Amino acid sequence: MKKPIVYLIILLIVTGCRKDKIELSEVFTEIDFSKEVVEADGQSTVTATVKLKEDASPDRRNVVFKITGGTFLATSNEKATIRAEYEGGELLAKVKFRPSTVPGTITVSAEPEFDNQSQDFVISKTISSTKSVPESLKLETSGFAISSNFSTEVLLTASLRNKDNRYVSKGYKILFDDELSVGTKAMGRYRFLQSETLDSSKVTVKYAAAGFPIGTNIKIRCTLLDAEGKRTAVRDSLFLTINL
Amino acid sequence: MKILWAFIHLTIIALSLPKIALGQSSSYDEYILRYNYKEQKFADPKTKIPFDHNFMIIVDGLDAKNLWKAHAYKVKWVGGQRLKSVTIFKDLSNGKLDTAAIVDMDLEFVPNSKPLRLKIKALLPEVDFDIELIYHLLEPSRALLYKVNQLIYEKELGKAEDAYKDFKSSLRDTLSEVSYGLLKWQSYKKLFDSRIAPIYQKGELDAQRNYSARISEEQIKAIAAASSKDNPAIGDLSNLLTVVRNNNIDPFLDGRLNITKINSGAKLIGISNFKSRKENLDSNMNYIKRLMANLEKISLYQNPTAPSSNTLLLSSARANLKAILELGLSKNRNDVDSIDTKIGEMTDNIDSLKSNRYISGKNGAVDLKSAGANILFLDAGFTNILARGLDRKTTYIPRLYLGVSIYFRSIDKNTRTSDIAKKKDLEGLHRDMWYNDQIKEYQYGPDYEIAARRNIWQHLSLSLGLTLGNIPNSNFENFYNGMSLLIGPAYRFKRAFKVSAGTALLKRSSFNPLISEKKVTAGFYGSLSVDIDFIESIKDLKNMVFK
Repeated sequence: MKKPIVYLIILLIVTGCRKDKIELSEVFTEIDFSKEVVEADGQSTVTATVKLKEDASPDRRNVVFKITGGTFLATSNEKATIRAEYEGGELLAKVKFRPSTVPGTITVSAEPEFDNQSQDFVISKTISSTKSVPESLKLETSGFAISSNFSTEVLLTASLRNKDNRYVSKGYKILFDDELSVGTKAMGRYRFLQSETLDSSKVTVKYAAAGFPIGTNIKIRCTLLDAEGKRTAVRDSLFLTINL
Repeated sequence: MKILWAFIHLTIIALSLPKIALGQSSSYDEYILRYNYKEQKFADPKTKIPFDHNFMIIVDGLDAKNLWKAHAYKVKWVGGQRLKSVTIFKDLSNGKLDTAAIVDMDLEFVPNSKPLRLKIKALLPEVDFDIELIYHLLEPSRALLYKVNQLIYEKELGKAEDAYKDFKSSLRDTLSEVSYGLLKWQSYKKLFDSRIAPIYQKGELDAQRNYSARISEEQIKAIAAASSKDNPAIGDLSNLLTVVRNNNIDPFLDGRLNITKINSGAKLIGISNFKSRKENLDSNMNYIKRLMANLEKISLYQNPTAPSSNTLLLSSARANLKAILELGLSKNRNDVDSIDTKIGEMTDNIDSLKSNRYISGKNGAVDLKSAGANILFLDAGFTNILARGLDRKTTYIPRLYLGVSIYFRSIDKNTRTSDIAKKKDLEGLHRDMWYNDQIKEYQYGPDYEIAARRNIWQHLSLSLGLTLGNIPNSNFENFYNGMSLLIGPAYRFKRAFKVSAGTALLKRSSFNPLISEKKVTAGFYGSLSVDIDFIESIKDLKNMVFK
């Protein structure tokens, strides 16, 4: 009779003393990015990889990713739920994201989809996103003909690109100006001027021409300004023609 | 919360149940067993000797007359032999270690019961025991001891020793072949010389008194003359005449001579042969009584108004016969009886001169099935499990459950606690040798080894329970096959109810969010349960009322 009682007590001790505090390392062992630095161009892609403990149950392998400073490709927003798969003997959850056009830091966090109710298991990592610096500028118009005396408007769009022909970071300023072929100011008027680049790496403005004879050419020029507001060498121009 | 209240209510009801609702009268009469001594078995072959219950054994073939003591001994089997369990103890008289079977219990018996009725206090379960019935010398042994005494007194020591062997053999229980008395011949001889011989000597002296009672030959002849052929009972008058003519009136009066055998050549017996003298005296007294009765009939035919010389002789003969009967024969008969009683009392007071009879018994289970039935009991009840949830707070899980109580000793669940004596109530408990100040003697036991005592083991059990139904809390799951396991000590009260507390084994989701498999975890439980038999009886009652 004694032996079974001893076994019973051991069983109770073993079951009763099981720890209920789980270390993060027992859930996620690692988080890694494919790049440590990325340009805030809104177009580059980075892969975040989270390594799960191999003994995860098949129905508990979904990982919820969250990001600040970017968006996930899979969902086009800041949250994505990805199922981990075995790769080379490791249980990995991978997700691709794009940085935003605002330079700074990008933080990706991952946590198990199942809620423990009493403890959070969040693994995260932060990388830097550097400015995507404009290297080229392209000016486009909604039409090359324009009426005089401000009777019609054209939409002017200046698109900036970096050295990789991707978007530039947010906040670059563009200066629009017009002149006649004789070198004098055309004195056109601008409306809805968006002087700084946004996520789309563009600046737009609506332009209306003053009173000029039909056939008069107006040169529209746009120039990237530096942080001090001075003109840079990055510029583009086009001609509009008075047709009425 | 409702379930918790129900649990509390159930507990209160159980505790407040009056005894009469569950009890029955407490006496030895609850269990009466009938045992046939000659066949050495119970009248009913299915008889089970109870434990934890007082009971009575009626022993056919034995009675309580002359029963001195009844002892119960614990018995154990050693090397295939059934032996009394011995105890090692310090002999207080010499300070050495000794071993002996110590009496376990002094048994009560109904005085003068025939057949013998033995009262036996509650026994422990699973005990082999012997009941030794110690009688004062029974008649066959008493007769043999008289013979021994007679031979010693007559200095026939060789014959006396042989007779003593026969006497000792007669003390042995013929069925168990165990004897109680172990007094050796030399010891008995000493004891006779110091204590019994004086009684013999006094009896001999008393018998040698001068008797005034006499009858003459003329008186006998007068009786014969008055008798007729119509009165044949007077025919053996010649025996009395022979006694008178041979001058044997004294041996006739003290019983050395049997008047009915005088003409068959019987010799005079010794004065110390009290037993034969007693028989002779009885015979002689009957003879004289018969003669006196006949003499009364003869006197009816006498003419009282004209008495003859013969009539006067008859009258004096009648007076002499009366004197012979009352002053001679009766007095001697009383003397012999007195000696007989004294010797009887003397021998009865010798503890090692007893006849004994044995009854053997074993209670408890005789097979594995009944052994299990005495240890394992089913009950059903309500349990409250408290387990740590995933939120690290205590989760309350109420469940119905079925349980098995495993006792650490056999249990008769019909036993009332009051049937079993407390240790302090066991009279004269002594585990070994002790000195009795009152009688100034060393004594042994009783050690009550086979007696049931009130203790925790009659109530305490290991309870194994299985809960019924699924657990509504999704973080938990039953331990196995839809049932969770409850393990813990249980305490039985009011015979049918049990409270239990201990560890509940169930399954809980892992704290690790990646693990979906629920792991065995331990919680605490407290429960109240009722014996299944008790529930069955309620069901039967319900069926009777609502059929």
